[in-house]
Amino acid sequence: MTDRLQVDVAVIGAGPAGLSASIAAARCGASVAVLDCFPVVGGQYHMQPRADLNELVGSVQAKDGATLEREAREAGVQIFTNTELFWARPGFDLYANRAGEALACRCRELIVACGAQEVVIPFPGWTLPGVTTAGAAQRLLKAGATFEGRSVLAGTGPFLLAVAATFAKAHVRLEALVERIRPGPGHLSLLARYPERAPEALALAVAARRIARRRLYGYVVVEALGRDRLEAIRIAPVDRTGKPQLGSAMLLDGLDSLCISHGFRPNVEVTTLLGAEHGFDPKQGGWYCKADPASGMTSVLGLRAAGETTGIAGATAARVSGTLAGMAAAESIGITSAKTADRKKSLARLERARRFAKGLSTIWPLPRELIENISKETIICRCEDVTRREIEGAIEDGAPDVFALKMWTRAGMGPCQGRVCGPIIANLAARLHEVDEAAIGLNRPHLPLRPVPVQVVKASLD
Amino acid sequence: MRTVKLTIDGVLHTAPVGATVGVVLHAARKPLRSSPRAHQPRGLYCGMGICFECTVRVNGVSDVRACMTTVAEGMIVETLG
Repeated sequence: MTDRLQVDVAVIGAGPAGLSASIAAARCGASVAVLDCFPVVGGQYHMQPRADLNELVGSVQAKDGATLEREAREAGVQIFTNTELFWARPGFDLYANRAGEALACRCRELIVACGAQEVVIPFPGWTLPGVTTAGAAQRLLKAGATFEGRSVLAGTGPFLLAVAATFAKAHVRLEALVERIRPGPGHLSLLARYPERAPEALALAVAARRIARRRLYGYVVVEALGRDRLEAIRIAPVDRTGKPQLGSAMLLDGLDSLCISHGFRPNVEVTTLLGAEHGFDPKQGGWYCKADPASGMTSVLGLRAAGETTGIAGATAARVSGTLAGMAAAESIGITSAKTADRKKSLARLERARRFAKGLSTIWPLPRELIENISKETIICRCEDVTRREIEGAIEDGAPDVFALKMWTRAGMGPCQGRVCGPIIANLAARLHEVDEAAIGLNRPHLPLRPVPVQVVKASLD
Repeated sequence: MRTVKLTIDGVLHTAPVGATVGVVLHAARKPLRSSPRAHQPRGLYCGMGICFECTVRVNGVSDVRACMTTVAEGMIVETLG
């Protein structure tokens, strides 16, 4: 059985941006459906832990998520959870896998709010069981994980502090917090310019201090060690240029978990698939979907994007850009929305949030030196076990682009379809070809966007 | 705390209501698959449905991502490792 749906506005992703867009469009009077692949709405930021798991149920983020969900339902938004988009056609037709059943949705306006994913930088041992992204650790904690044994949180960026705070709320101690950037005057001057952010920043820093036994600033993880799972890591101090000083490396032994994060990049699978124009800006996480801030409109008529898909800027920017895109979508199908004054205020808030995010990415830039220093034997594509040596060998043998690399080496051909390793492969190719990363292009999405049972594909297209 | 019982590769586990299968596998420290060329053990990695490292069989259905699946009473989970 295929569920067939026809709405004015469809929204992909029920995080801060997607829920805000849905609420705004529905409040204007549009019929709205929002699709999300997770069992509960809220995205990663507003993820609502299920009842009686732990204290995280009562966190501000979870409560705000519950409020957004209630507002969406009250506004008449149809919410589809466990619903994963696997294809989209201009016009727009959406095809999704709803927990093993097909869902087809036709809409006049489409808002893509697919959020972000973590920037992954491979290092020896990163594929060992026990090594996860920091985002995974946060999700696991919110879903009731207890992280028995000794855990280290490492990488770079403000998100590390947020995850440390989640560890603190879950009462799980961290053996160490390892951050590449040393605290400096830049941290304070940014907060002085954005005083509204200071209380949250301070709370995160205090929580990190309380929960991490050791805090090692100016260090990076250079290797994870273990036979069948993580047992130890080696960390090294970085010099002024950001390069790890391997001669001064030290061992942290007896570990059970390493949770590592290097920041975020926009999720642009759906906007790429639908042919929207994208830009490349390392300060916004790499490739992002170009969208008009006031309306979310992309280069494709009727296709709007909101939140992290349009460049990494955090939850506040996501909510505001979602609201603006939702109102504009309703307006474009002939439903007049809120006053211009509100919109002006929202735009100002959005701009301010985006400027703050740029300030953050100046303090915690993408650690390109770490990509440069990946050893030749390190696995880059973890699905197919493809090393840096093999990828660079194929480039030297003449593979002209990411697609050719995939055909030659199988890198990016496994179940993740290059979602994890794609940007690193593009970066390595750009280095060898001595061109700008932007010139290498995006990893093009293929049907299906996510693995899906054949019968679901058939049913949705019938 | 209310709990449910499920089995992983035939072994009985208890998990809080609302937890994901990923949480149970993470705590059980089981390798979830063996990589195709290097034959190295792999475990849950991204935790948000992107990397497919935590793919398991649930109640006979294959290719289920443990990190996105909520536990249920009597669930039968099989790893590929």
